[in-house]
Amino acid sequence: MRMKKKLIAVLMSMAMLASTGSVCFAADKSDDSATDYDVENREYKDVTITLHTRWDEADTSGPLYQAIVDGFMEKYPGIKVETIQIPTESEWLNSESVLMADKSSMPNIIVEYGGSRVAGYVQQDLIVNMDPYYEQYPEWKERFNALGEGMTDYTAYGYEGTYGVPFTAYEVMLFYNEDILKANDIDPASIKSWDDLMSACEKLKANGVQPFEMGEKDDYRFGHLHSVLNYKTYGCDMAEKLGSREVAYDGDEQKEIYTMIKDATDKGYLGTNLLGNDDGQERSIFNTGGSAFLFMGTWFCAEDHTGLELFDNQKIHAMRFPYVNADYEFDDMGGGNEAYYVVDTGDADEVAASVLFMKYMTSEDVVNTFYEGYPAPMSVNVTTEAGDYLTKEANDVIAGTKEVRGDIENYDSATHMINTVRQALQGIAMGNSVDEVGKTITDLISEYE
Amino acid sequence: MGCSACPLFLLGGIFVFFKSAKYRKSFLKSLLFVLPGVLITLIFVIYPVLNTAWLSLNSWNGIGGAPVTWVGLQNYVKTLTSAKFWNSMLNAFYFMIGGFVVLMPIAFGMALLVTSKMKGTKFFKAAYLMPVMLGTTAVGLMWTFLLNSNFGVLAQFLKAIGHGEWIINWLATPTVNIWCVVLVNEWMYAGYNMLIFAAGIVAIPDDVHDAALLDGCTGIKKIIYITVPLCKNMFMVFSTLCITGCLKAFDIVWAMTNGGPMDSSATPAVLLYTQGFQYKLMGRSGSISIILLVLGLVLSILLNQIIFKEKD
Repeated sequence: MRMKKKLIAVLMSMAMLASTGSVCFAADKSDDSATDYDVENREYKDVTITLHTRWDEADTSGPLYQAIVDGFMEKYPGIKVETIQIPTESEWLNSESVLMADKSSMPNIIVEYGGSRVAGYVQQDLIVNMDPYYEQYPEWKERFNALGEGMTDYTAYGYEGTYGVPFTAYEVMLFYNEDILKANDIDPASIKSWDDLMSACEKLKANGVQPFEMGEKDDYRFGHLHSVLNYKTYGCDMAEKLGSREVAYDGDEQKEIYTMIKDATDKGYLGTNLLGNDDGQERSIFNTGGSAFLFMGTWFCAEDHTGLELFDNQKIHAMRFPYVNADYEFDDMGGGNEAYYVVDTGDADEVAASVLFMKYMTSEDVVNTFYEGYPAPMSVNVTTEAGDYLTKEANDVIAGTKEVRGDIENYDSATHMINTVRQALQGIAMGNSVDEVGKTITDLISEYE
Repeated sequence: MGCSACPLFLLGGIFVFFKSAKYRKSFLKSLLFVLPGVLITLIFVIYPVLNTAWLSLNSWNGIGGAPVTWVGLQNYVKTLTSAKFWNSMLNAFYFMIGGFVVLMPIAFGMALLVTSKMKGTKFFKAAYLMPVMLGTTAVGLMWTFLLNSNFGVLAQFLKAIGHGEWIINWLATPTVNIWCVVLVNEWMYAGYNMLIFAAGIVAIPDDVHDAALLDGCTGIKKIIYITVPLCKNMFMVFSTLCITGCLKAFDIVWAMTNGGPMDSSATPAVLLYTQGFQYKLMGRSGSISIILLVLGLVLSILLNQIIFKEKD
């Protein structure tokens, strides 16, 4: 009897250990040799995929994205799409870091901005190469324009292939309030260069009008200003030069950029409460006539401006961000605004369902319906006319653009750089000198690398 | 039974178990009672601590499947020589000063009020506990708006009394910002700590109060010579919670300033979070965790041994 009890106890322990230990042998990367790339002609039964995004339910685009998910599930009832929506950039990035730390928690599709963060995932074979699927469906590849290429091409990091599916696009522009400029005798057509813009700011400030009211509490604001001033001064290839450290962050070229930002800050042109306002407040202030200018990505055009007098009366306009060096007048900050990356979770059904979702999302009818509700520039070709006057003005500017790059730090192989540079630039709003900004960045590079 | 006693208990139990059949039954019963607690402690406390300690000796970028590289004590060296880390420790020290100099007297005073025989103590109890019930994010957002230098209530008040020149960007000025967070933290947790002291005050026997009254020890003298000494255990509990809480302060800081600008208001817990999940330096983040763990243990033990130890 005693031996029987001992035997039962030992067998139960072994069963517990085996079931606990089986997680160590969970499926790893899916076997490429057996992959069927024809995702449309495949049976899906009880497949659940998770999508990690920045979709904002409170934004105009939120319900439109949800409609895409709902439409997909209706068309493919065997696939369930669950979404994790985190609108705030810093919270979304942190959430992604947590989920991507372990295979068992990785979402099936992540929204990202490309650059070294995604390159890190590509390096670990976590992102599905879309090339075989584009070979299967060549008409699908035809749907994309050049705007989104920067988010899917990782040859600069040494990885051949196409990683990610771009969706919306953007370009950073200068928006202005026609009434304020007119009241202060400033002709917007005369603002071509950064010096022209600074002269206009000086005139506005002298008349008691606030030129910009930037929300640097969200540190990406100075980050974007730094990127766009670099492209307008040195051309878009400065992104690769900084990324490869051919140009130093504490060198003369970058100090010139920091000086431009600092001079404008010290003169009060960029805001009266830089570190107290966030980007939402910045837009609210501009939308209600509290500032003359706003520099922002073209997603601003597609935001809900219902009931805002300035927009109803068409008093807000878009123009190309002023050049610093006339040679680079048509080099701009922009490109893909977001790309969707299919994560290889090791489950072939989930990967196929995820690719199918992306194919559905970028199909002509779906994109057109989305664009009609949210007329932002797209990396996928749009075959419908939509959008208000501001969107049309922005599209006209984009049409004249010759070269674009995204956030300048995204071209650096070190993933910490976007946070490092943005934090250091925030120091300008705190009164730091240009030397201190450069030193902060280089000190942190030494510390982290 | 504390976790530290578990290994001893187990060893002793194993010896008794094999020694005599007589004790085997009661041993198994005892084991069944402590097993759930031991398992929970092992899974949710011991294992994560050991795993973090191991991670702190390695370099890992936080991506599933990425290589984990042994670096030894390099993460600890980098952390302990980092200006950001020492700035965060200074911010934690500010939290401790706020805790002992501001929170403790206020919470103790509140406890004296709510345990007194005056009318309206039920209302006071509810009022003092309300900030705790609001939740950290709500409190953080609320105070962020109150302290806005353009439209915040404080700025409007200063303008109204003719001291607009005193208005600064409180949450963006280094040192000022962390003190704002500290004071908001004390405001939020005063009611919670009031309960700790109130528990000690009501436990004082009535005959002690009667004896004090007979000897003419009333008012402030009674508080100093009777109430405070007899509440020593509560002060010990408060001190331990305060020190550990200050070292791991995260939520209120994150809600109000995100640790910025430029990590000027970051506490060690905020730093370990940003180092791990923004900068993808999981090993460095782990080293900060272990340093905090050791520091918390040492400070708690020292404080209780040196200050609160019973004199022979």
